[in-house]
Amino acid sequence: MALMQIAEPGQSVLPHKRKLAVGIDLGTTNSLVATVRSGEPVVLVDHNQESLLPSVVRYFDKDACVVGREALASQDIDPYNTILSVKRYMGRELADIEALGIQNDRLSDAVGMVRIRTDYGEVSPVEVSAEILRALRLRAEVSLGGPLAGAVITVPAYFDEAQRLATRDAAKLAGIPVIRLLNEPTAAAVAYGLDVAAEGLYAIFDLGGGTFDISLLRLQRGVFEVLATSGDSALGGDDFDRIIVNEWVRCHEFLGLSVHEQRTLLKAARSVKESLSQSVKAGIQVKIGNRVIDLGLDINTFESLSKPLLSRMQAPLKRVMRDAGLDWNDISGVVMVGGATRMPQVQHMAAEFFRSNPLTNLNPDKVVALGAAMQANNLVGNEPSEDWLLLDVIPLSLGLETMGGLTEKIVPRNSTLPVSRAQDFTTFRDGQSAISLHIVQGERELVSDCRSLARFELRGIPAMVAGAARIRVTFEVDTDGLLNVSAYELNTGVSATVSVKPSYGLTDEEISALLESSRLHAAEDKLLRSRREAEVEAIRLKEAVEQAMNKSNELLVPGEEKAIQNALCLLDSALKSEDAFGIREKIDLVNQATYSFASRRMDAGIRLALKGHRISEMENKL
Amino acid sequence: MSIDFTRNYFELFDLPQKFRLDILKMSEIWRNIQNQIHPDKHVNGSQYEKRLAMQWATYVNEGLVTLRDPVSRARYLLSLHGFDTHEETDTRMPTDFLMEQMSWREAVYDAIHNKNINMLNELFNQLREVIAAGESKLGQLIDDEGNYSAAVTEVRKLRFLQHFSQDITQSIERLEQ
Repeated sequence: MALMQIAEPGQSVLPHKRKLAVGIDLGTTNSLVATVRSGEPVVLVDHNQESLLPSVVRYFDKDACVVGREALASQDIDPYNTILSVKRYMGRELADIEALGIQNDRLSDAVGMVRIRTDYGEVSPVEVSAEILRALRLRAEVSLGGPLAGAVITVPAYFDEAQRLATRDAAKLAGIPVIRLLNEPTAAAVAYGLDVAAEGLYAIFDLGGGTFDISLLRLQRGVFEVLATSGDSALGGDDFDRIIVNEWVRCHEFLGLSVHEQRTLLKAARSVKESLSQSVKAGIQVKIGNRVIDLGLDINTFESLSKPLLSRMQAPLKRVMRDAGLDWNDISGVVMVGGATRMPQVQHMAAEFFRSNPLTNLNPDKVVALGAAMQANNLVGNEPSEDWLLLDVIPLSLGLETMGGLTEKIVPRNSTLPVSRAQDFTTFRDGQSAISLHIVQGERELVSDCRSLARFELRGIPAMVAGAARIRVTFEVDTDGLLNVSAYELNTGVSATVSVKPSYGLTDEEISALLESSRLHAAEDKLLRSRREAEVEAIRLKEAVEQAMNKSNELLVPGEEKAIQNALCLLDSALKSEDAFGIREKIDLVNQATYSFASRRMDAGIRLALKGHRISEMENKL
Repeated sequence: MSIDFTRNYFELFDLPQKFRLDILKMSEIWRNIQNQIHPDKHVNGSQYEKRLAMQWATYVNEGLVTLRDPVSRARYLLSLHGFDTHEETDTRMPTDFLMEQMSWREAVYDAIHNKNINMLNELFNQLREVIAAGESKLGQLIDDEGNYSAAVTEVRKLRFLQHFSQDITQSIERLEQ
């Protein structure tokens, strides 16, 4: 028999029980992966010691591609097969994209989301994103030495359900177990707040390559409470590149530019934009047709060209302050996140709006990934004693379609998760036996202006006159942001329920076909993995229960300790000799034995919270 | 204390059952409770414990939202005293109140028509004062006089005004786009 290992005193989690968890920042321009190592969040680098992975994919064939720096270098040589800024297409239909003024003749419309045409066939934005995520997964696995137990992937706070689902799909395709999608500004706040032990009200100003978010958070004794969030999921650094290109096209009267030349100009614009963050003037030489042209720009021109974009940021800024009921002088600090906040005119605008100089002392590219890594580490349970908590909100209102195509909001935006809201509705016609429920997301009054999430029906309502039925519809959103909607008629008790999975992105069949073809899960791998997962879960549960029994021994009732010990013994022996199924069975036994103990501990937690408050109140009075 | 979701929110937060409430104190208690029972604090627990944590966290959030907004707090307090505000089924309002509303609406439509955001902000601030006055009246009616039936009428008026102020906010947002 193998010798049992004994932990060193004070070492909280044994290395073999430590789950490999990462935070992933899947950006428009660059992507990163980070983890927590010996309590410190670190960004993982590739074999060249590079931490930023350009979010660029170049296809060579139907299934062959390169990701990152190499792909980026080929953007003007092979523009049709090199895909940049794919995040802007996630969960969007052609009409959405055109409405944003983005022109790309390689996009074709498809149900729910556009497809991108390459010379080797069409790809979905989800598949392209999956390639980027796969590259990050491999980097993490090489660096951490094993398969990932869980990942937190960040998304712009203002992403809607369709865009979030597309991100989840991409992760699934890339073989990444997603624990949660985390809002980018919230992730940044965690990394910043824990780094400098900040307290007070902070504004997180996040301008990425393709998205703008503004979030207000209260940081108080380890609790990160999001008060309100707003943004524009189609406004970012890319748009500043485009205004530079437009200016050059206007000045130099470029006509009939080829796709190659357009990419050349974009590349030049990006480099000039970056130079203008350090100097007042920048220039670059490009070859257009057979002419070699000197292109240049000074900061004053750039600033005045940026005005329309900067003023587009005003509406979300004003809205977030109004929603939180705050004024600029309530804000303790403005944290700048995202590479595009390096532009001086963006910093000036933020400084002017909040009437204070923004904090730029942290790396705006890395902070999101670092925060995500910390949350991932927490959520897989590596640091159960970690003394901080994140309370996030839903960014967009959720509601129902009512008569006349109008939206009735049920869960208002900026509600703290988890949230449950109910509202009563009634029938429109005499004898109406069913109602159709259409769940939508957005702030507009007309359903046609909102994002449709799901439809379901409540049938079997007995004949009543119009307006007599009382149908209570309940929306529940859990901490993962997953929405459940249920409806029941109060007089008769008929009910129906739906879990909202919007019909965007890829269908389940498409996903499983793609998974099949990439052979991510060989059968034997799966068995081993599932036994290992059960094992880890069992060990953790055992530890948590033992810890709880030690800590809250007084809450145990006679006989309970014995029953729990028995269940734990059974679990121990299952761990030695049984398969995944057997282990899970014993996990259930332990769960059952600890039911009422868990309830009592939860109560005790609340009592403790109230007591702590009374003590601090008394101290205040003294 | 037991797992009893019928316990009222004032008891939950250990606060006196009054309309006049220390919101800052309540928020702090809410944060303290979340810090103990939030699902993210129970990731290593059993399935049951996690489910319980989710239910508690939802319940505590509901409590915060219900008590934080003065109108919903008053409605809740009145329901504890056995008074239903019947806002969904009975939309009758005193005539003078309705007349007042009509002139407000007209001013707002004019401002929207002229795309006058400053005017809308001005009307919004005026309305906020009217609402604040109504709220302090609620404190008097409920906490000092125990005049619940008069408080019911006040709640109905305030709900009307709240909707109206949301309409103004939405118009401002649309014009700012």
